[in-house]
Amino acid sequence: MLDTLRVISTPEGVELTLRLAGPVSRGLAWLMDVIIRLVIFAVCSATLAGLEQYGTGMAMILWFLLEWFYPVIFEVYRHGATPGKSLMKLRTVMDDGTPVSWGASMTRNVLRAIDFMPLMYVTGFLSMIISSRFQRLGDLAAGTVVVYSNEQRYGQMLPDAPIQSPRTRLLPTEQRAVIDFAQRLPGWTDERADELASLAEPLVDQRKTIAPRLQLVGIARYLLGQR
Amino acid sequence: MTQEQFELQHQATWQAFEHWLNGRHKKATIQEVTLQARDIPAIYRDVCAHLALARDRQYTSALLDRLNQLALQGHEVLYGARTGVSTKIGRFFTRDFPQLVREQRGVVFIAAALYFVPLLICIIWLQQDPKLIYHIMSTAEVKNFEQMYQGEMMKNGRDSGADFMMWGHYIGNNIKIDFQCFAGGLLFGIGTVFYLVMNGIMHGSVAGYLTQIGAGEHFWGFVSGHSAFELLGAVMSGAAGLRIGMALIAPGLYSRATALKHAAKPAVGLCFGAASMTFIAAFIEGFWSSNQWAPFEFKVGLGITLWILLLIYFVFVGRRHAA
Repeated sequence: MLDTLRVISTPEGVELTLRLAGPVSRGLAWLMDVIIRLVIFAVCSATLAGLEQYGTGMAMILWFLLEWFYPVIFEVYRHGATPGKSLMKLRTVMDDGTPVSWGASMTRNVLRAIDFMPLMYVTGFLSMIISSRFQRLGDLAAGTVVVYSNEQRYGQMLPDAPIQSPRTRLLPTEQRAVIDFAQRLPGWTDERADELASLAEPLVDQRKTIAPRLQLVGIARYLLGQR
Repeated sequence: MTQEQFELQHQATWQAFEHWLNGRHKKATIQEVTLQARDIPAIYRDVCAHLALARDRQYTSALLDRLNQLALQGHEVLYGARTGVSTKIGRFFTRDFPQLVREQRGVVFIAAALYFVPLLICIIWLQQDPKLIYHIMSTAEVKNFEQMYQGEMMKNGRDSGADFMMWGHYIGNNIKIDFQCFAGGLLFGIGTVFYLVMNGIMHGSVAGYLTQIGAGEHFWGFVSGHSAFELLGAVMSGAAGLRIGMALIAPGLYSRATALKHAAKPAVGLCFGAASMTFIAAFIEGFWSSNQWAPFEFKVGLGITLWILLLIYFVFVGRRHAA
């Protein structure tokens, strides 16, 4: 499977898809969380320093809470996303797509201690590439997955281009591909879009004066019934 | 039906549903929400049907993504409802935790044996000859705890600042050890067994050594108050780790991954209970154990009382509500 999609079936009889997040974006999210926690700790312990031993005691409790409960609190109360995760547009959900529960969040975050071993999440990384859903050991035990929080939104409106009919008969999946291309057009530079479009050789005529990308958009509009 | 007709026909439903979903997260906009809660399940089912239709008719990815997102959020809201945390926590301590401990008594007894057997052996063994401790610890470590239990603190107690600091230290350090002991279960239980036996040996030798050299009164006076919560907490976190380890060693009829998932629920309950007990122990250890005004007999008596109360709690509490 090349796609990182996880399909869940609901009682209503439809299949919903989640987009799983891989080790790199999760690693970056973790790194941001580490930085955020260090900053919080540094600021707080600087202010607590004036309280001498009371301050030291409170700083130790604060560090304990930041180390073990920072991820749990955010995951339960902020829709599965710690600040780092939400910056990377990630969130933790149960593997059936429902919000992460207290127990599951505790499990996956306490078992972090093993995923971290022997250093820098080597165990967790190996587990992620072996498991089919990018789960580290803590995720496997808790039954959670980390997914992208937002589906990419394509524009509803197609760019303007002269409508033309395709020169060959297109299969349903090919039609989908052409329409998807047209809708994702704003995401590319014109040169890159032309380059991609000219790969669709029998559909696109290089000799025409209209740019290849616009030829494909024209076909897409035809397929969508804008005749 | 072309996609445009389809979209036109259902646009209003989707927008209303989307609006309702967004409104749930922001309390300020709640007045704008037009849908009634009782309509939501029906609308959700409609959206699901639209998604299935759109997929079947090969509509565009943009529409499919939008419907998938809507259905996913609806699914989350409808199937993700959970009861309040505070009632759950209350019920955990008054019912669920002791029930869980009784239900998991197999691993609890094993964990207790792994900790208490080495502990008792070391206490008795060191009565023969206190020098044996140097087989277990370095000279510096022995000096260190000797000073701890014979030095200034034991004669005059600590001031309140030091009490508070040590409280913070006990919370951070001891609960962390609980968590690590639990997580060690993921290494096929080896990490947990190691923690339990190791701690048993360490604690047993310190206790045995200090008793032998005549510092017993200070030592037992200090530890008796928090010992029930501290030691049983350690045993519970060990039991949690063993539960995880057992799932990996003997998964039974399940695959290892599934067995692990099943074991995680009781295990994390035990671990949470263990952490709470250690938390209580940190309170006692920080603010009570080091005081010098209470007589030795009272401190030991209190310690024994707490042991009895805690055992009664685990044996009897929550039986009325047993499933």
